[in-house]
Amino acid sequence: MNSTRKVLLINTHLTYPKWSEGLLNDAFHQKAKTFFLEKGFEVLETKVEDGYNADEEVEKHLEADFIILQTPINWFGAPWIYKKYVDEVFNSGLHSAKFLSGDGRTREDATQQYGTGGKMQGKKFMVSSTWNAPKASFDDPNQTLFEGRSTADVLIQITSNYRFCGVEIVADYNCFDIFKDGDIVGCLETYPKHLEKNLI
Amino acid sequence: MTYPGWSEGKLNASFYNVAKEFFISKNYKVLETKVEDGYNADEEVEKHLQADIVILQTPVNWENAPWIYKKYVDEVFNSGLHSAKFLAGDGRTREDATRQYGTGGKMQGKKFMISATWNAPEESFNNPENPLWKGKTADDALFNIAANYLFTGFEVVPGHYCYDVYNNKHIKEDLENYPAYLQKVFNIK
Repeated sequence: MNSTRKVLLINTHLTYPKWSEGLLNDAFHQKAKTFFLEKGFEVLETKVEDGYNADEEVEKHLEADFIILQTPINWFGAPWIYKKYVDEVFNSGLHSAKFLSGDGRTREDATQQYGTGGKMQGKKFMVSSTWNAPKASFDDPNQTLFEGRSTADVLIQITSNYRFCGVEIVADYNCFDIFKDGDIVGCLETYPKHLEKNLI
Repeated sequence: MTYPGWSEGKLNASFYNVAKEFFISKNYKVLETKVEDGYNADEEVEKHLQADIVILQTPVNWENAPWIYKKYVDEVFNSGLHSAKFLAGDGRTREDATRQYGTGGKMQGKKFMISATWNAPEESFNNPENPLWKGKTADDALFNIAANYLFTGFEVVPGHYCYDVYNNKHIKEDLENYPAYLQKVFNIK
């Protein structure tokens, strides 16, 4: 029996030449990879921009104990290649019934709630994201755009897919204000501590 | 987005056509985009500049719009950003530190609304007991879509939602009530 724990690291940066080359997201991806290798994990990797096979991605999700999405925030979500990845991979996991056995509701038991049909219990999912938005724009009801919302509130579009399949969501990690005043070096240095605290 | 034999788009087309007929009956000029059929990003920017009201008709696939919509947003809003037609930055300036993030939009006076069809039932929202949404509303779930429009200065009005579409016994009713909703939410006489 192989008891080595596994982590799936998904990097969904989309390259815009001379505007967003992906160096920062790659740095976070490498930081996580080094961290998990040092902890004795087997590291599975997917770079969405380089292509993937949806059925294979389903299998990687089934193998992994932890799944981490590394993403830049483009227009308040992951780049479009990520939603394409989700639609394809989760549709595969739905049709094969490997990710879930339905939406949780049954004809027999009307008390079963929507969103409880997942089969991925025991796994954990985390988002690590890079934002132009400054930290001060979140968790503050006086901010006009987010009106008090947290990063987790904005990222519910992504985390809800995993929760729907039974995966536990752990606290997201965010590097803010990356084009102006953000402390990128500090964000990278602190990242392993966040992983240790929330996943190990 | 069409998935043959699974999601053919008839329900979304029905809501779309109800809205179209409503606005024509109110003497609006109707500009149309069917994302799946292709578009030119720069032309979409111009259509947004011309419109008083923008409505997105979308199915909810994996808790959000189909991926072709995010591709549309990334391309169209990037065009509107680079040309500075949608916004003049993110609102913050070196000169005035009190200017908030997200106040750089140029699209003031325009309104945006989402009309969506869900597998999720209505009772899964606004319900702290629901394990998926944990008390969030349907508008909360789709906030990422609204945020793009808010960021560029639009007013976003509450969405119109048809829930539980695979079991629904009130699709017909939702379609019938849609024009009255549009009339009310946009204050149209």
